[in-house]
Amino acid sequence: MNKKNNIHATVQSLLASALALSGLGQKVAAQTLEDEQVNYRYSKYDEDALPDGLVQSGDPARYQIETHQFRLVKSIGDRYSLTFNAVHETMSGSSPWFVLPGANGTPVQILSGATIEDKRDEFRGKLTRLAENGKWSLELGVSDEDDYQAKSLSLAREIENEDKSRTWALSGSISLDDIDPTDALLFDRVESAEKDSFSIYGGLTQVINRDTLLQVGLNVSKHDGFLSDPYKRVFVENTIRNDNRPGSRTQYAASARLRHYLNSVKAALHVNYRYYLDDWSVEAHTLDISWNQKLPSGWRLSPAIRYHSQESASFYSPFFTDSPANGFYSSDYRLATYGALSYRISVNKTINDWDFIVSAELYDSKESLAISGTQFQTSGLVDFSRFTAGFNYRF
Amino acid sequence: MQLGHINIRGKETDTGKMIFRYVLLLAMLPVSAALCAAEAGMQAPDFNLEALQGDGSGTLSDYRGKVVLLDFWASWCGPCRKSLPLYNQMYRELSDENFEIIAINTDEDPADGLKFLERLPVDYLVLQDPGASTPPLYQLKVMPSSYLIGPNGVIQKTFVGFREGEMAAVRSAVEELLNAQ
Amino acid sequence: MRSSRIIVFLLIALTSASCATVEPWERGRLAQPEMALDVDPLAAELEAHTYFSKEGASGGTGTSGGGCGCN
Repeated sequence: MNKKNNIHATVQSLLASALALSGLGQKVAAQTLEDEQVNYRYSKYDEDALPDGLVQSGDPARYQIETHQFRLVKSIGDRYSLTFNAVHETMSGSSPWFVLPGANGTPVQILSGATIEDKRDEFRGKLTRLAENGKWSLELGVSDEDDYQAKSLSLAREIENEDKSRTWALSGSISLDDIDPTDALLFDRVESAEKDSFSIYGGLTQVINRDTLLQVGLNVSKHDGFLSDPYKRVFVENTIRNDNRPGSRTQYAASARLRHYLNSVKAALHVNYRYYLDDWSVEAHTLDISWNQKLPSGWRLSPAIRYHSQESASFYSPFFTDSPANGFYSSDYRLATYGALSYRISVNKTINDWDFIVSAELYDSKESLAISGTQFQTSGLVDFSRFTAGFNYRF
Repeated sequence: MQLGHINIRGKETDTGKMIFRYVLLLAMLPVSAALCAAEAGMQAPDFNLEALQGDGSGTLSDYRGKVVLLDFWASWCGPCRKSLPLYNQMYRELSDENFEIIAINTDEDPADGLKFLERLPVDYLVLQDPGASTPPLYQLKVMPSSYLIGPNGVIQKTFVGFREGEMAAVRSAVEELLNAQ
Repeated sequence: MRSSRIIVFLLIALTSASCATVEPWERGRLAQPEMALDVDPLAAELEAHTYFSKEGASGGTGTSGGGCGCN
């Protein structure tokens, strides 16, 4: 395909120039490895029950997830660092299944009847090597659930300029996923499917002045294979059909992250913005602002607010009265037009080599919060709360 | 330059191509020339700074005739958490010799330097330079950096940055100078 | 498309901007833990994973890891 060849050729030349630059180095290797440490976090995630009027059947109390995150960073000599990540998650609850036109055309959500109980385990290992003018890293990962296994590989290169005021980053990753939905035959779901993903990122971090840092980046991802949700159905022309999405998806995400220090109050302002677009017509803007305040005696307080707005996929609708011409349809709320506001607060206490962290988040989504305003009523938009507690230990 | 558009059907990625080519172009910009920290062979610039802890001050010329290791550090410098204790250990082991370590703390608020020393105290002289008058004299390129100065006041060697594995090289350079007296 | 022009403008502005030269000994404020791009890497990962699972958009700040069959 012409487009594929073009991107492929450009990526190759970009990688080649990056490799060439890796040879040019100062004699000074002024890079440092990340501090050796072990991190642990426990998180509890609870979705709010849907309002009664919007649920026709199924348990309205939705999803609950408990997550254990573990991370270990270990130096090997002066040049190498190994980072090991493990995640163990248990999930239970009911999930949106399909949407029906309700009494006056209002979409009504049908949730899965049986309570889903699932667990997910993820393991990642990353090796980082300091180079004369930056660093290389290689990461391998596996994620395993009853019905989903993913294997991933990622390679990244960072190149710093001579006075460390500018850092280029380039990375690529591949993920090969196997989907084996539970109760496939019972519910007429696909029995076994695959999904392959390839992603590339290019970014630049620039020191603006002694108080300010800016990072800009661009991410392009391509997914091929089974991209529908095997557990979701769609009401199409008075029949209930399986969620059916295109077999490929190309995503673009451009981001800018600003860090600005206010020395008079010893706080750092973080502003993150991401623009997202894909070839399913989903377009999104996400703005995340946080204030990171250093307080006496090793305390730090960080309130944050996040706003997300997205436009729906071209084949999304709560339900379809006519069968779409291209044969693609989904009523998954995640592909709808809506906006979300979330509030976070994080408290950190440092005592010598220990950090203790407690944080919470409240997330609320609504059709009317979208930048474009309410286009249609979606059902099944999620509101959740999350609580996290954990520690870091540097050794 | 014609700015294309991203066709939502995904057939054309003019903008995607263009952005990639722009990043490629920038990546080709030449990396500038080699650095030039204060080189070996130069006379070590003199200074007169107040002590970080307590009263008193320090002048480099007071130490003429001794082997001096001049170390620029700050509370925010990660490798300094390793370098200061290791330098202190070397200082204690060579206490009978004609050897001094002078540390210059460059924290803009000396209180941060003091807090660092509360956790990782050292026996050698620590001076404060919040106005950063000395680093430019030594053409400091990286934090931390240390300069090995001979009894004649000439810089013998520059250690740019700090790695634990480098400690042996620092130690042997100091001992070589001491033995050459 | 307007948004692509904004991206390119940002890139041009960033790389040609006359940024102040910050000496190595003036990097203290930038080195503060509060100034990190990710102050808490595990929190950043959990947030990215949560928003990826519950929203229609993802990515933007690097690549890593595989996906999940998130419901």
